[in-house]
Amino acid sequence: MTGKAVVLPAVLVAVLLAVGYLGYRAGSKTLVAPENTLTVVDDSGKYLEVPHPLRSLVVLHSDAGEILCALGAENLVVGVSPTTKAKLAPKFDNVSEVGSVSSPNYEKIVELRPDVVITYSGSTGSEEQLRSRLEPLGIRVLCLDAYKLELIPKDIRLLGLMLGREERAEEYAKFFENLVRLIENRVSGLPAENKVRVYLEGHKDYQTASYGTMGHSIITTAGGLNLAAGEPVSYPIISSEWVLEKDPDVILKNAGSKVLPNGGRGLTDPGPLQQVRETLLSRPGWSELRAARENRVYVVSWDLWGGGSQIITLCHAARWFYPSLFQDLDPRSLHRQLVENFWGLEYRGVFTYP
Amino acid sequence: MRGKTLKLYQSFIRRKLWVILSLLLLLFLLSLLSLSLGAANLGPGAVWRAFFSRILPLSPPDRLSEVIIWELRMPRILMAALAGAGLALAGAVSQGLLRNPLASPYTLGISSAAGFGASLALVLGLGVVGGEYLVVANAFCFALLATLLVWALGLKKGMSPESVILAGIAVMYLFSSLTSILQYAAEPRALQGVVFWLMGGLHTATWEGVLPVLILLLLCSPLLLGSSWDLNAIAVGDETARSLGVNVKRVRGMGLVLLSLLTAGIVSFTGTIGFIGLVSPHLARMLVGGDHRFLLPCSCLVGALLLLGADTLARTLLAPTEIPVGAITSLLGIPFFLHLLLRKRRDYWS
Amino acid sequence: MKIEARRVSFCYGSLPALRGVTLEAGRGEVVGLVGPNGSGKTTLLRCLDGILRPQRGAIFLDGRELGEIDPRELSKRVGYLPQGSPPPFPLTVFDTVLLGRRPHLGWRVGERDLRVVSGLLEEMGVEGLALRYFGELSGGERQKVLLARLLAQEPEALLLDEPTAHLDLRHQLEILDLLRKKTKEKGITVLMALHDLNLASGFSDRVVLLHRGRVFASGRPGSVLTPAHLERVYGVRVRRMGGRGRPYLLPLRPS
Repeated sequence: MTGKAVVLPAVLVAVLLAVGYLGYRAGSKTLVAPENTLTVVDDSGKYLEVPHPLRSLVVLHSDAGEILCALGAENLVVGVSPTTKAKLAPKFDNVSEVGSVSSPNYEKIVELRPDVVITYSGSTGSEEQLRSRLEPLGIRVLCLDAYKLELIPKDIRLLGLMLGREERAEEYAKFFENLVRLIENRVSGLPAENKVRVYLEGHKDYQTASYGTMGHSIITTAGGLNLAAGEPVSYPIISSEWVLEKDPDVILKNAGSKVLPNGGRGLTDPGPLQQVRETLLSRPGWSELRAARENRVYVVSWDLWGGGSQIITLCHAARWFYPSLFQDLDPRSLHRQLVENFWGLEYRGVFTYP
Repeated sequence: MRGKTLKLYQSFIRRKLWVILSLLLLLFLLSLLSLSLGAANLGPGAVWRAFFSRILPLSPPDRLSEVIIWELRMPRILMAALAGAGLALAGAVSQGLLRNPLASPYTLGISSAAGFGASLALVLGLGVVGGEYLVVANAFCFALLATLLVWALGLKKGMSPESVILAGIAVMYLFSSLTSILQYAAEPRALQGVVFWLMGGLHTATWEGVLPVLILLLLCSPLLLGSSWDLNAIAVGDETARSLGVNVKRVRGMGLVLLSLLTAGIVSFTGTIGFIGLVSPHLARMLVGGDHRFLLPCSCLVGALLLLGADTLARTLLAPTEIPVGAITSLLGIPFFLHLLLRKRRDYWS
Repeated sequence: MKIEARRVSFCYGSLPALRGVTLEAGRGEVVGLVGPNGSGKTTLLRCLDGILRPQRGAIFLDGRELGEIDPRELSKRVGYLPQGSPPPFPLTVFDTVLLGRRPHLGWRVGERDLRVVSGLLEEMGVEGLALRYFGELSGGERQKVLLARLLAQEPEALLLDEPTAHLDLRHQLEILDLLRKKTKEKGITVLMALHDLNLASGFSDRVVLLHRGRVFASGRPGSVLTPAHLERVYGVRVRRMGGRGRPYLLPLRPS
């Protein structure tokens, strides 16, 4: 009776070990064997050898997806994340979904046999897991942190090189660099006491952004002063009285996906954005703020708070902060240029108010 | 008369063994089923040719199938079974040692501590070792720290079940609140990573991860299974157990350390997967009763079946989107607790 | 087994429970331990089983000091039944009694162990309940099973703390009768703490009366359970009836 109880687990263990050994046994695992290669460095600092030119890609974030559309390489994309598909519709409507950037589906990716998988660096992009699962199979992992405005031109040029579309890449990268340089030059002379004091609020009420965030860098590049810059936490939640006390010159509010499910695309009138502004100003005491009285409260759709669209937000911010300095800057037409000329999508919608 | 009682008892025992064997068979079948399912569309023929291609000198249908079966699905299935078995074993032992049907490795604070360690790595990049194993090593070390705290606090109070339970809950809240603070300070992308880790997932299972878990299970389970009689004695009361020659303090202390080690090792790789450790022993008790000689191995099998089943669902229900396994196992908890709440017939515990 | 306690003293923190208790139980003797609440009965039994270590004094089992006996060996020779009912546990009657074999079990449960258990179940008259769960039994049935478990240890001595609490009249008598019969059969020394003076009188060879942690009187039931002693210790007046050997005591009222 109990003798059996000892034999059984022993057999079980032996079977498990055998299976484990078999699985572990080396066998050539590489799926993809390129002829011509190129060595590049990505945003995580790692060197990788990729086929040249690239024949197929899996893209896990829309920041890279945008660049590929701009380079006219969307037909080389064989797999995308659902958010990429949604943000860049209808470009990738017929492309397979492979999971998200933090939870990629390895099986699906492997089945598609891409040359390269594009993600973010670090754990936000599951970098380590992707590398350890896919690189032994010959699939390269490219980390592009194209959510950082300062890295976008570099990433554009890198992809242009890898795809053999350097000219188009140069044109696109310059679009960003020229605008940034223009704005920086015009605000560089401003003394600190003349700088516009800005309160930025995210889509969550009373949540602002401090040093090191995208919002902060947009405000600063546009020559403004982020009132929450010194807070200890990246996205602190502040109190109403703090805002009343600081009395900002300009208020920027992010309208989230609850209010704008499509990010503002397809909207014909600014109704929802107007609503957000009114709700904000109906907070006790807020209608007395300087920004309210001088009509300098602006609502920006979440669609403009990421990827390449950040440049448009930057332009808007520059105009709102210093209208006299940026009379000739037309953020809306720049936005149209970005969406239609570069990405090849339809520009239709309302993204900011007023 | 005497002979009759003995015969009845022996068939009673034999029935339990049959239950365990059937569960084993079920597990084997589920593994086969799970192997043939997945996001990639491989036909059953391709699956089997790919599987046998490494065991027998057959050439595989194509590289892709072989890779998917052997590099992606096999380790994941093994990890699910091993992790499920380990968590269930830890749960059953904790319930026995603490005489509490709601005890589980999680109420001892182990998973909260692992979550904190992982969050520390994901949000601040701080860790014990750098590189590939940053998150795993952190999770493990903090889980061990929690174990040490609970063990020391319990020891101070004579290792009584009540003091261990209280210590465990205190430690759990300590690390949960620290994790919340970290989450507040985190960037949205890092935050998402933390949330995913806390919900648990087996999609990162590789052979390199399976090996340590297998070794840990092989080391801990004989020791835990061997204490079955001591656990039976402790169930009747600390004093009675002592009078039967059981060193209650030592058994409870060692048992806690072993089950925590096992849990820590598993959770570091898989994230926090809830309810397996809590529910499996109860289900096993319904099948084979409360004698730990059978309860412990049966819990392992039930746990393996539950987790493997849940993971298979997680990766096939909405493919290619992966539902976090922890979400599915937590949903398991709801009918279970409702059942406990609403049952009319007597509990095995009363 | 001969049990001896010499000037044993024990304090719970600063609260003294036993003050210099000296007593003896010879081989095969049944000793009833009586006394009011808080007189130290449970504490004494716990000291005798090695659960508590007395601050002063010593305990000897067959001449060997308790502290020197290995706990495992002790559990093979002395059985202990704590006060009150055990917490709910999911074992069958057979497995509960089998638990008593634990001190003797090797790697696996042997033929002999099983035979001892089924034999005891039969002797206790509960073999029909063998595969029922302990939690499903009535109070009287449970006590019989627990007694069977104690006997399964094949002990030389038994320490019982209130074995008849919460039992009805019939079961009280049944249990003590079984206990006395079995222990006399095998020459097991018994020390049992009892609430009920008449039960102590009827079933013990000797009685030890404790009062505030000290041995007030010790000897045959007839000589210990006198109205004078009881009024002193319990503060209650009693009328004594029946033979000089095993008196029956009728409580009158507090004095």
